Amino acid sequence: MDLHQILLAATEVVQEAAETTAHAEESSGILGTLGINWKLFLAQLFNFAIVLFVFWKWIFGPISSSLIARQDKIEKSLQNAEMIEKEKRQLATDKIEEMRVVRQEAEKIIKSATDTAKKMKEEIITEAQSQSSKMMEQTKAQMVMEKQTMLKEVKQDVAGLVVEAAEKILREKLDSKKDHELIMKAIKK
Amino acid sequence: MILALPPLVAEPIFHIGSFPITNAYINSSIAVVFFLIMGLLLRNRKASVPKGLQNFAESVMEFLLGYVDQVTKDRKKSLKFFPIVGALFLFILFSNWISLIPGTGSIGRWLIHEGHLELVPILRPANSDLNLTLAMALFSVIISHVVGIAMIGFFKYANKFIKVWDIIKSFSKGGMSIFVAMIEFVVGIIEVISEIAKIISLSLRLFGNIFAGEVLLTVLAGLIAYGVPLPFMALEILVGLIQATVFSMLVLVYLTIATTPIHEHDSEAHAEATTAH
Repeated sequence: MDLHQILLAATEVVQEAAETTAHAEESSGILGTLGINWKLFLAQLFNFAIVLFVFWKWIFGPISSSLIARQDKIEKSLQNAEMIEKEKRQLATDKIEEMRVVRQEAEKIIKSATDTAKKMKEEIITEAQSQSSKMMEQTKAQMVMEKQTMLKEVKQDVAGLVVEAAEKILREKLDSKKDHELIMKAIKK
Repeated sequence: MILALPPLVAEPIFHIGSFPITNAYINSSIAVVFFLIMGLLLRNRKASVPKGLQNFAESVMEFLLGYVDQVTKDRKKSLKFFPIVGALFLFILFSNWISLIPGTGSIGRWLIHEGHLELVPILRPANSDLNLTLAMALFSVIISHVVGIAMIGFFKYANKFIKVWDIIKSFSKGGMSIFVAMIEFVVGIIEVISEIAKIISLSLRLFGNIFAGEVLLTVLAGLIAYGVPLPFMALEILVGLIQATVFSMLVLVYLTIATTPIHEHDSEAHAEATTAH
């Protein structure tokens, strides 16, 4: 019984001592009165560390990456739009330039065509003129020749007629030889 | 019945082993659960055309990033610092605002506290526990040093505080510059002290404001329960936002300062000349 009481008293004393030391540990000096307790301090630090981790990795991470991705996308599409606009403008100027070249070429072709046409016309005209003048001369020469032959024939005919007429008139007075001479003289005169 | 004023120290509600679960810790854990849920919901949302929650989160993010840009003046830096600063801002803001929900500070367990029976509230603003604010402040200041060392190199960064290199260099110039270097060395040591002051001011500012708000609301609710506390609740909404902004903005400024390389006196003129081009 005695032993039991002593044991109880001893445990009480130990407990009390432990409590007082624990109390002293909790509230020692200024830090104690302000409630600084290293266990709680670490626990609160751990709590904050969890919040920091969650915010950093699970909230800030995906959102910032999606924000950056979106920014990049917008920048890229803006650049693309600018490039397309530039290309369009380039195309328009190219088109105008090409049109100008084509028009020049067409004008050149038309000019050369009209030039050749004019030339041909002149050539044709001059050829026709020369041809016609040649033909005129030929016909003239032919006519002259025909006239001469006609005249010859007429002369011969006339001579024959004259001879016949003379024969008829002078049938018996003259022989044919003298007669012929006479006629020739008459014609020459 | 007059409500007991909330004590300076967050009260333990129950223990797990020897670990005390305090009411402020419960509140900060609620915020953690909220962020976990949000994180799990947003984790796999990567649609290029955002909808619903993703749209909301993106708009909040972009709004905050705009402010961060104004301080850093550099989008790359902003994106680097934003996870830290944004997490701080949203965590502080959320835990400040959920502690304005009725029930915080009023629903509790009857426990023996410092010798007598008291109603210990189950919920208490997370930032009215110095453990949390000190943890965040310490983390922020340490991370700003780590980032500074990573960005501008250990020796250059150390030269901001312990300016031994300046003294060595000043001997080659001689005369007045040795004296100037000595003064700057002392200034560097003051900088070290100011780093410690940063931690204390960051943590105590947030703790003090939120704790004072809680005390104010408790006192007012104890005096006249109906109507009168409302404008003060509105004020506390504002205080919660302002304190979250102040804390995160200061951390952002520390990060920005830590990552800007120091201009030496002769290279400063040179840098100005090059930027003038």
